[in-house]
Amino acid sequence: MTAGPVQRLANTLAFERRCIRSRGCLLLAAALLAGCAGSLPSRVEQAKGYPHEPAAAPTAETQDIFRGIPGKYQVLADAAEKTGDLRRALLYRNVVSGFAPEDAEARARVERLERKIRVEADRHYRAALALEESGESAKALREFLAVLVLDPVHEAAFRRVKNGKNGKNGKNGGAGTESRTWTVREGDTLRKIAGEAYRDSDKDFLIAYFNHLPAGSPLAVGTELRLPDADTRSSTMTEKVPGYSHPDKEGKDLRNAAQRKEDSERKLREAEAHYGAGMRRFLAEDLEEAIREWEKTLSLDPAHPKARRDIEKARRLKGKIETPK
Amino acid sequence: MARGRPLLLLFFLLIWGCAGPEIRPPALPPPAPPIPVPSANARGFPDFIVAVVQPGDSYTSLARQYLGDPSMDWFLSEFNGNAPPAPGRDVLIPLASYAPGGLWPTGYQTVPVLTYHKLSRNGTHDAMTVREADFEAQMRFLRDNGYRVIPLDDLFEFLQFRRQIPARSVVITFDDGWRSVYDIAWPILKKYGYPATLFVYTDLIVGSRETLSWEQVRELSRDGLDIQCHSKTHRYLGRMERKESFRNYFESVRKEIVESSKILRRHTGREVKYLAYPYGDTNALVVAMTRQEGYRLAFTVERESAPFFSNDFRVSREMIYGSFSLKEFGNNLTTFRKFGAE
Repeated sequence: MTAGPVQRLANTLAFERRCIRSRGCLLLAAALLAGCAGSLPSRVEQAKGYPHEPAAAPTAETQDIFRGIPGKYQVLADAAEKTGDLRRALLYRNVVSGFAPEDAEARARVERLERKIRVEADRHYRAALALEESGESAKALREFLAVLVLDPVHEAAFRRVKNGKNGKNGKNGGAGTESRTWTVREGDTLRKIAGEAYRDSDKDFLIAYFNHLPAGSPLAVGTELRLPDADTRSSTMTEKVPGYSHPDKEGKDLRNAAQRKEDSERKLREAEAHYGAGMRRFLAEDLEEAIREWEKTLSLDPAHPKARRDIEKARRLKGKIETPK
Repeated sequence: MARGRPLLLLFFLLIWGCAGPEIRPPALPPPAPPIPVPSANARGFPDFIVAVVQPGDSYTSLARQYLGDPSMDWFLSEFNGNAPPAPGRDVLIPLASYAPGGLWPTGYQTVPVLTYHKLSRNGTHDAMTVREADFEAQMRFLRDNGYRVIPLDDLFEFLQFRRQIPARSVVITFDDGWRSVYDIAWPILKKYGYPATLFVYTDLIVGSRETLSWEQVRELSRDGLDIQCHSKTHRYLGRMERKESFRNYFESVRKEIVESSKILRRHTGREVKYLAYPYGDTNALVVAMTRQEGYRLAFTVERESAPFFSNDFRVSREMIYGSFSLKEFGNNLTTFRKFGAE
C-alpha cells in the first residue's frame, strides 16, 4: 500500500477512535445509512448555481473509453481554478494525474494547487481571527466559512463558527454553550466560587450540578470547574401569533373541560340515583327520607326536572299528616 | 465484489467522518495507484471514481453500483451539476462527503424545519390548525419541487458539519401531541414516505377527543414517527416568574426537560435526543441545562431555515399556519443562501 491510502486509513482510524468515544456512531452511521432518504422517490435536483461540469463530447465510441478524460479534466481544472473553486480544481487535477501517473508535470500541478489551497486557507483564517478580534463577527464568519470551503477538516475554523459568538444567533446564541472555567484554589468553596462567578453564593448548587459534584464532596485544589452562563433573561424572539391561544393554555382548558364534563356526568348519574332512592322511600311512605334524597338530587342537579316538584308534593303530604285535624 | 468492499467501507467512514482531525503530511505522498472498482467502465482512485456512463445508467444505478447505496443518487447528481448522465459521458464520483454541511464556494445550504400543531378535517383552520387538504397540498408541493424530507437524525449530522445531505432537504415536525397527528397527518406522511418528528409535552397526552393517548403515541412510534420532547407542562422555560425563587425556577426547568424525557422513553422505548422549547422560548441557563441533561439539539421557532453553523441549542424552525397559501408555504423553504446576499 502506498502513502495515499495509508493516509486515508489513518484518517479513517482516527475517526473511528473518536466515534467509539462518542458512543458508537458507527452504529449511528449504519442506522442513518439505512434510513437515508432511501424510501423517497428519486428525482433530479434543481441546479443550485455552483460551478459544475460543462457539457463535453462523448468519449466512448473509441477503443479506450477513458482516452479523452485527462484532457477534458485539464480544461475543467483550469476553469475551476480561475473561478476560485480551488477544491474542485484540485479534484480535477487529481483526475488528470491519476490517469497519467507517470506525468510529472500533472503531479506538480496537483502539488502546486495543494500548496495554494493551504496558503489561501491560512490567509482567510488569519483574516477571520483579526475580524473576530475587532468585533466584526459577521465578516469573521464569512472568512471562517471561506476557510472551511477550502479545507473542510479545519477543526479550528469549525469551532469558531459553531455554537460560538461568530455563528448564527451569535450575540446571545453563544450564551449557555460557552462556559468559563474555574481552577480551584486553596480555600475555595462552592459558595465562595458562586459568590464570585455568579455574584450569588446561593448558586453553589448550580456549580455542583454542572460539574456532577456529589453534595458535600471536598474541592481538590487544581480541579477545573465548568461555569456555564446562568443568565435567566429570555433571549429568543418568540413569534406573535394572531388569534392563537397558547397550546398549554388550550391543553389545560381541554383537560379541564374533559374533567368538568366527566364531573358533571358523574353528578347527573348520582342525582338520578338519589331521585330513584327518594321515590322508593316515598312509596314506602318514608316522606322525610324521600325529601332528603331528593334534596341531594337537587344539590347535584339543580335543574332536575322532577325533584323540586316531588319535594313540594312530599312536604304538603307531610304537613297534612303531621297536622291532623 | 470482495475487492470493492474496503473501498465502500472507506467511503462510508469518510462521508460521515469528514470533520476528522486536521492531518497535514510534511511531504506530499506520491500518486496512488488506481483502486479496483467493480466495473470495466470505471477507474478507481483513493478519493474518487471516474465512470463512463452506459446506456440505461441513471444516478440511482451509478450510486448503487459504485457507492453501494442507490439512495445516494442526489449526491452524484448534485456533484455533476444535476445534468442527467448521458451514455458515453463520464461521471466523477467523489468518495467522500464533498460539501459537508452544504457549504459551497458560492454560499451555503440552509434546512427549513417546518413546525405544525393540529390539522382539521372539517375545513376549520386557524393559526395553529392546518386543513387536511392544505397539508396534503403542501406535502405534494415538496415532492413536486424536488425537496427531500429528511429525519432529524440526518439534520443533526448536517449540523455537525460531518455530513452532506440533499441540497433541498426539509425537516417536518409537529408540536404538542394533538390527536389529528394520528388521524390526519401521519397517514399522509406515510403515503409520501416522509419521515417526521413529534415533539410531545407529556401532560397533554390524556387521550381526549382532541389529544393523543399514550397508546396512540406508542403506535406512532412503532410505526416510525420520531417522538421527541416538548417539556412536561409547556411552561415558558426562558422566563423566571416574578414570585419564583431562582432555586425553584431551576428545579422546575429541570423537571420539565428531564421527567418528560423519562416518560417518553418509558412509553416509546427509544432515546430522547431532541427538545423543542415550548413557545421556542429559552435563555442561557436553559441552554446550558439542556446540554447538561444530554440533549443533542434544541429548537426555537425563529422563522428562518438553519445553516450548519447554527447553535445546536437554538436551531430555528418555521411555523406553518393554517392561514398560509401554498405560496406563503413556499416562502418558508429557503434551502440556499448565496454569499454576499445574506
